[in-house]
Amino acid sequence: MQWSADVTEHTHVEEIKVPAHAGNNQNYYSQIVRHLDQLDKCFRFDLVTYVKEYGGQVDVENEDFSDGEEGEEHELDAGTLHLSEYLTPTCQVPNYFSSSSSLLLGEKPTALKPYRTFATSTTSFHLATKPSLWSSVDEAAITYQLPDLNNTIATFFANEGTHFQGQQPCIDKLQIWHKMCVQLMSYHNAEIVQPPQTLHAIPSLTMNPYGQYDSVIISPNHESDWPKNGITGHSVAQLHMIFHFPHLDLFLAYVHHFNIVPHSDPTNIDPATGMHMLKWAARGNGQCVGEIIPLIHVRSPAHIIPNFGRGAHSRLTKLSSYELSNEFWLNKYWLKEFYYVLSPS
Amino acid sequence: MSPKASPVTTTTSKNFGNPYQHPPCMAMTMLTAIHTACSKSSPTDYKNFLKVIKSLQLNGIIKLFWKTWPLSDPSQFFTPEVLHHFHCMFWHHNVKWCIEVAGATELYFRFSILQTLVGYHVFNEGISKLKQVTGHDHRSVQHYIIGAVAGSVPCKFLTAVCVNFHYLAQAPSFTTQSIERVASALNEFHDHKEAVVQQGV
Repeated sequence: MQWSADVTEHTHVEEIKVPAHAGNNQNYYSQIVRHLDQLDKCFRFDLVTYVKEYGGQVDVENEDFSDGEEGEEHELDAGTLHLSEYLTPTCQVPNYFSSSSSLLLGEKPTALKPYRTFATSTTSFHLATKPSLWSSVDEAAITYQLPDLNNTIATFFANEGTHFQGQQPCIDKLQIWHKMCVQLMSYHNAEIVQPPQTLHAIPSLTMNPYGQYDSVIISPNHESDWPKNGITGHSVAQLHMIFHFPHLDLFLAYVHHFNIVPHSDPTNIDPATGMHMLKWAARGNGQCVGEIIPLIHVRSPAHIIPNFGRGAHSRLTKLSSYELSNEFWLNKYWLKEFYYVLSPS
Repeated sequence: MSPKASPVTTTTSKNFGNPYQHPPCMAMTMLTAIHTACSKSSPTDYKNFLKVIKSLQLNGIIKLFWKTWPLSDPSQFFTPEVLHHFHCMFWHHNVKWCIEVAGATELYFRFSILQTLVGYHVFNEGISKLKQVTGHDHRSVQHYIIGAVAGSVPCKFLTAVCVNFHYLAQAPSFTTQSIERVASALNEFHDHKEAVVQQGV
């Protein structure tokens, strides 16, 4: 947003247009000035009463923290809104890494468990307090058009069985989220966080028959060397369902895997485009390879572009272009930070 | 300097297309030129002074702000700047080449069927008819154009329009190794630029 005129335009709306509309369309200048004067007086009054009420202990940092924490569901009351607006003129990037560590320290005893904000060494995650959907495994398999959902869940628990000490998942009640926020550290400076990225995993609906599934970079293990060695040791997958069994404290995801198309070059990068080419990983019967992974195996959001070839098929639409394509480019140019990670040094 | 002359080298718009790089425009050269101009005609006699400076590729400024800075040279401290030298240049050249080679309708269609992540620019209307384009849009086009044109243009052309140099040069910190990579990305463009000319754009 470095070169954007949005800030000044927005100020123009606030300082000129809104006061101009508040008047009777006569003597604009004097009325705007009077309106702004009155607003200023009201604001000062609010500020004084607010400071009085809290005995002068206005802890700005804590205010901000709780705003970021509660997300969209928390309604600020009028007084705090004024104050925080005054003190934070620009958009603040929430830091899910620090929120998750303070949650782990038990600073918020009332927070819902399992914690909706959690982090690994490379990536932090944030989910809404309320799931988008409650459903049984069978229903979810139909909604998300994933016939192998039940099997993959069974496989996952068979493989990770020791982890859960024989706890059987309760298959009638699945909490499902349609989106989540993922946040990464800056590639060059691990002290700075990047703005969070929202990822969708929305099943097909009447208005979008193909659903909307974003892609992610995943790691086969809990810990990995991302982002030092680029994609080596990691893979790309499409996020299909973000869910959670009520009695387990682990968030899971159903993903469809991509294979990286091998090239003569050891890095498997296509020399002309400088990008990796991806293909759906498919079984012998042509079905996509689906798997359940713990959500914390996700390392980074990714962007892919269908490989349109010589000429893009004219029947493709914005909604169907991803579901109906077979080959994709892993678009490293999507974000500068992503580019630095993926270009071999 | 006059708008037709390069600020960092001694070249002018007439020399465009010469295969070699002109020697850098040194502070001394410029100061001598200004001195010559002032001796030929007084700066207060603006009509005649204008004629003189035109022939010397100057813009009429005779008191330069960096004159008293020791050891400084504009050709060194005026480094490329991201908005104009990367984003604008990309928009006015690389994108035009791509539209020309891939075809406006095809590129329009490809951009219109891309899905983008939340918070990123969507190009429902394609990119050739955008109005009031800002640096922000130039940047968003850079994010997708390589993937969008891949396959419909020759490989060498694609290598030439690649934005590697732009991205690498914008890194917040550099090591010796990464500077080498910036240089090699620039060389890659120079090695493949013939392909752009061959496409007749």
